[in-house]
Amino acid sequence: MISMLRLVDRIAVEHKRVWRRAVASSVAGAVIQAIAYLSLFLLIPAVLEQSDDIGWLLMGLVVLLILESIVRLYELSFGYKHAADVISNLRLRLGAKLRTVPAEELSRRQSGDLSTVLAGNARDAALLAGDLGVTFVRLVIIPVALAIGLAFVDWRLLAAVLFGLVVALLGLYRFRSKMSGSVEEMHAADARSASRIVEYVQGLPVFKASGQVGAHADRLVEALEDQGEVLNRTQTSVTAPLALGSSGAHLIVVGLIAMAAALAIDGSMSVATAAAVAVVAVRLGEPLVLAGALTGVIEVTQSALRRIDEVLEIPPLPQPASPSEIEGSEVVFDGVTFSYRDQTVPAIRDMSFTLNEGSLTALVGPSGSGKSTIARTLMRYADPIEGEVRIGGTDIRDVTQSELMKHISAVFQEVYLFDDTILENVRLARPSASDDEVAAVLHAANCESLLERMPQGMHTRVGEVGGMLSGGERQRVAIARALLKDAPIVILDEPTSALDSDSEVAVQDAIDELVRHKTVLVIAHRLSTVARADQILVLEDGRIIQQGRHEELLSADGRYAAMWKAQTAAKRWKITA
Amino acid sequence: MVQLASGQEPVTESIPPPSPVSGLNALRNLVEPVKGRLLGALGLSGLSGIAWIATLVLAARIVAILLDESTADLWFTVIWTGVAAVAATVLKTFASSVSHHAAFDHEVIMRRQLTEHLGQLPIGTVQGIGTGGLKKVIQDDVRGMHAMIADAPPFVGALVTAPIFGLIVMFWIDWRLGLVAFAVLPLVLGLMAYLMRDYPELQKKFDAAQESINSAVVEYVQGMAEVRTFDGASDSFSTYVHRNAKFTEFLREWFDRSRSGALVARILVAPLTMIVVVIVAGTLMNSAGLVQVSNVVAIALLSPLIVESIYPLMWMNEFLNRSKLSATRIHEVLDLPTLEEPDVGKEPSDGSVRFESVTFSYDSTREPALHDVSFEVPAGTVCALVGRSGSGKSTIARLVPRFFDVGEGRVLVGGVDVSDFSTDRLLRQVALVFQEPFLFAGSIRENLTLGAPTAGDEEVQAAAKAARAHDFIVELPEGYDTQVDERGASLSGGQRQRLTIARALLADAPIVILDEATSFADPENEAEIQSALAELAKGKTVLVVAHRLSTIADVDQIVVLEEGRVVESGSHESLLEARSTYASMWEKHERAMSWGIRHDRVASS
Repeated sequence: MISMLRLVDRIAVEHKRVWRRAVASSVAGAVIQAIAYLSLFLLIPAVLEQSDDIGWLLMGLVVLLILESIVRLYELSFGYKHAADVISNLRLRLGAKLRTVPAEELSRRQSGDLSTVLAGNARDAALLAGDLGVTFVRLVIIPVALAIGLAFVDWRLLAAVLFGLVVALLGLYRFRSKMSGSVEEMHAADARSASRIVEYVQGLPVFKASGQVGAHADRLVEALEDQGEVLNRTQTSVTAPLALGSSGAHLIVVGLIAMAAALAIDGSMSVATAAAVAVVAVRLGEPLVLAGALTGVIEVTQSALRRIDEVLEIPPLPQPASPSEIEGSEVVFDGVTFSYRDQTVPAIRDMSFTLNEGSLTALVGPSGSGKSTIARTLMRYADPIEGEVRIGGTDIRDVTQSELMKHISAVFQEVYLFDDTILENVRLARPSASDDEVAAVLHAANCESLLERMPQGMHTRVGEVGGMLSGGERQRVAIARALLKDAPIVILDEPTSALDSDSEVAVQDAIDELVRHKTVLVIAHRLSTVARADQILVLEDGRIIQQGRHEELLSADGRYAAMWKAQTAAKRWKITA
Repeated sequence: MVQLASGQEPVTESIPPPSPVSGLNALRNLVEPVKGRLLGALGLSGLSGIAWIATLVLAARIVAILLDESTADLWFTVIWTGVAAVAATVLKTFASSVSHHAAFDHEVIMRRQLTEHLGQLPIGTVQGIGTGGLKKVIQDDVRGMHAMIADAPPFVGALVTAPIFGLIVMFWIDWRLGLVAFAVLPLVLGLMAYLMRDYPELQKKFDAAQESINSAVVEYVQGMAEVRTFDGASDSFSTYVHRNAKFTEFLREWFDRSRSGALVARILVAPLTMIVVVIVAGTLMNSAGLVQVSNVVAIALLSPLIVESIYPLMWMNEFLNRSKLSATRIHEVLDLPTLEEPDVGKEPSDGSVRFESVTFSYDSTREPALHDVSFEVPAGTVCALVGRSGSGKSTIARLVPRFFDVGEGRVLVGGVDVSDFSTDRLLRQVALVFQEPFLFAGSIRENLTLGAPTAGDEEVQAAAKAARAHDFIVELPEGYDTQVDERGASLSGGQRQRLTIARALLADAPIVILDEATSFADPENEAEIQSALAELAKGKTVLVVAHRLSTIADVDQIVVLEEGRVVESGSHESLLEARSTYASMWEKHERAMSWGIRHDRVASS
């Protein structure tokens, strides 16, 4: 619980003072409430004696109520006045954060998870946590203040409170130990069932063919039943501890009343005081019961807070203290070893090569050989373990991220288009570009036929036509984007056979336009595409095993020659019945 | 309840329930299987509420006994107070235990019901929703109902009984003081009604604001790579900033409008207020000789209960709303229409495939994907479908195994309408090589024999050899018994593809449907996959969705599609001679295949 208050404190930043004031108000309100209840120790005797003080005491009670209400206003002000701004600032901070963390960190997390943090968790954190936090504070402080008050009335009353507390803590302890034993088992059962569900959905055509659906999907049903059994078993094991734990609060109430009765009969406590103890006892027990009911909600809220905190705590990509600038477009990999996080084997090892200014270099090799890693390292996806990447002689770690990006354009197979017009999607690359300039690059990227189909040409929103854009068309829009950016270095992931011939020719023409006069790095799938490259790097297991021009590599009769042979054979394969 | 809570807690105000009717209906239908136990939990919880009232009444009785200075029944009453208090706890814990067990069983029931239903849907529908979406519904949304089924009932029963019995007892003890305590209720309800006056409209606005910020978030996160690469892209960040500002503005407006009223309500509906009102009124009435002190104490004990019993549900409200949303999504999946199957399936006469004037549309609001398509593939021949993306060739491939039902016309396999087959019979007839290669977590052998459980070792190995998979399988640590982990991650794409081809070989379906693009997801292994496919095609009826025209030059028949219509068909040579659509596609293809990036090198430095 304290950790929750602290987490809210962390995420509130600009509103930290308001938040702390809300918590302090909650504490003050709880104390005032406790004093109001404790005033019964004066009021009840006064009433019984028909004393003249009754009027004053009643007025005092009303004043306390008014005071408490005023303090409550401060307590609630966080939720009602500032929560909206806290959410807003939190979202902006999270948004800005995402731009500074290494791209590797982003791809390690599923985009859905990050969206949940920015959308749902950020909202919950401010709304739920703020409200629950102050409520919980009140529910805890009231009993504590009352217990202290009771101790002053008669210290023996504390025995009853302690008795109830011990029972509650015992139950809680048993509950915790049972749960900690089962948590992993439950997670494992959940994970297994989730993966079986995925498997079932993906393999549905195959399972249907062999009649393994519904009740006959043995593997799935087994995992589901098992999941249910683990959950049920855990529930059974925690029922008794829960009963014990939650009876604590009620035992405190009954214990206090019994103790007061005993003391009253004994003569060591007045009857009036004993009557006041009864009311105070219930006021002490009830918040504890309510606090117990809150724990589930608090746990969920706390995990939302923790997820936010986790994102805010991702270390950003180190930025240079005094950034340099890049001049020229010669790219040098100098003894670069790069390893993905959570992986023991480096993806590329001690890699050295140079992309001369204005030259075309192709990367070829099987999947997993390190082609994409080279492209990513050049864009500073994350920093290498060893060696350095230089552009125009400057280490890319010595320039700011935006300076680096100014010099690189990249076109990958997966193209993301924003839900905006095609025009704006392209203009992204250079916000100052005029409509005419955008139209010109769309033309150069062979997007004419695509625009003709759109109801409002380049002013059509991508969202409206979503499915209407084919893979090839999206790629051409991405190329237009890169053309507009006109960066001196171009990284290109060659389109594969997923495109139909029509699209392919159009994309190919667009690429020719894009790479003109640039320093180009191509991830090649079809060797014929890059036969004219100035330099071909043949990769295997993260190392360069061959390097040279097409003709040189063919005559060398190594890995490249073998690949070439296999691919030319593959070009004309035949299916005949 | 929803209304009460919404007026008081910013939590609940800002996250209004979804369309309440559909959510509630969905819930009612979905909890049917555990209804009995839920009622049981509610009953136990109700009893617990009564037991707690009894505890308080007995506690008041103790005070009365003490004030009367007669100790006759004192210890007897104390013991009963303890019994009632413990009973209140135990009953509530039982209620919670019953509802939790019901919730966990309900999860299993729901998941089985959902997966059973998926098995009866057209596969196209299932794939349309996607694995991720379905996993979310089956796993997360089913779990999402937990708040409603497990957490709420133990409080709801007491929420009903405690205030009602509390009020009855208070009136019975002293109707005048009871009335004072009761007076707060209409006051609060009236205030609520006033506060809620434009709630539906605000809620609609909130939903819209929420949706708009959520979609901006998703876009921002998904497009992060683009945002970074074009770092001048303050543009897309500004959409996010702009929508965020609008959401904030709306939230602020909502809070501003409801603040004063809500604050008053929150201060009125509080235990301290109830107690002070009762004590002040009680004391004054006592001075007037209207009521005994012990009765004032009794009502001071009971009155806060009216407000306190609703707190837990107020806190849970947000989660209950999410439960409702989850229930709605589950219901949507269960409501998807299933594929109708004949009681007794027919048997095919051979391996031929025929389309008879087929018109098909994915969505009634969209242009049909296929218009009046007719062609025939005689048993044992190879037919290639060609055309640009979106021309309908993949749709044809999906209609043969009846992933969707056609709108007009018929699809015949072996002379039988595909809707006259039982689904498993039809799918045994057709081998599909156009999916992402599918492997489940199990041994390689289990994966290969999925469609042919009786196959012996020799058959399995023969199929693996034919699929060019045997060599890499025996190099694995445990050969055919090697476990393939989740999604076969330890195998390369090409290896997984060859394993699924081996599986298809074992299943020995007379018809093979194959999509070139997905079959060659791994260009490095192309040659080997091609040999494997050639083996699979031997002696079969083959329908191939072709992307590279060179691969199909020798097939028996080529069907050329354009915008969902068959525009030409015939052999490669005859189509080239016709000098029409196919001929121009061929020309473009030749150009694409010989392309090499043209790069005018700048004078090297």
